Amino acid sequence: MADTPVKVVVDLSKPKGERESIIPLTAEEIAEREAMAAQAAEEQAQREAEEAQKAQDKADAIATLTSLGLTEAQINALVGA
Amino acid sequence: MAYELVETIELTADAAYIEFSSIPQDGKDLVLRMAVRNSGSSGLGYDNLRIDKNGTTQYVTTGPSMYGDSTYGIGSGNGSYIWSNKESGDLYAWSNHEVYISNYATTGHQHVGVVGGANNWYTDNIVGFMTTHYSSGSAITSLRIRDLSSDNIVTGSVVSLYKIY
Repeated sequence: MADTPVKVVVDLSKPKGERESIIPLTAEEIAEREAMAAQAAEEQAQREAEEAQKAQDKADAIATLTSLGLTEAQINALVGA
Repeated sequence: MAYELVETIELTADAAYIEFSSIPQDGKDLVLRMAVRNSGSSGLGYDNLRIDKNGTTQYVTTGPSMYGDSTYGIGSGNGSYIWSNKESGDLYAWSNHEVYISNYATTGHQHVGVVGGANNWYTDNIVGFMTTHYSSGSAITSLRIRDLSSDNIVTGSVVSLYKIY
């Protein structure tokens, strides 16, 4: 069984040297953390899909421009490569 | 204008969160400076971080941003632009950020500027900046830094909180 994750709390109302506490996360905090991680994974996957689509669109555009007779230098000037 | 170190924390054990609580209310702005790394080992070379205001109800995650990523190239938009290196990528690299929070002791919305990046030797590198804000309604009394992917922030990570008068 994995160790319970902890948080480091720095209570600034206390004197220096007495501020830091290491506290295990509550079950609620662990559940919240897992939910946020799942959401983050979804957002990351969406971002990667969008980036992949942009890269594909760019490749398609370059192929089309090439077929129209533009040189590589001309295409790079257009697309900022 | 005075720039005062409130506290520096260096982790002596891995932790899910680093939280500054009971932040003194006698300043004007806050600055967080971070050199952090996480325990992740798969996917991209970095994780996204969030900075929660006063618990879990509000957090810095999205805002107008620009970034340069060694995998995805240059981009912009709304996204989470605070990162932490995965220690599996490079044991010598720490992601570095400065987070500037304006008017933290007021109940109006607090503007936030972030600049920083995550550089590591083997995998993705990213650098960028973002501007965003916390919604109005309460002064900032606590800030909690956490990794969005449920990885831990690892031993040796350093976070400093400064107060500006």
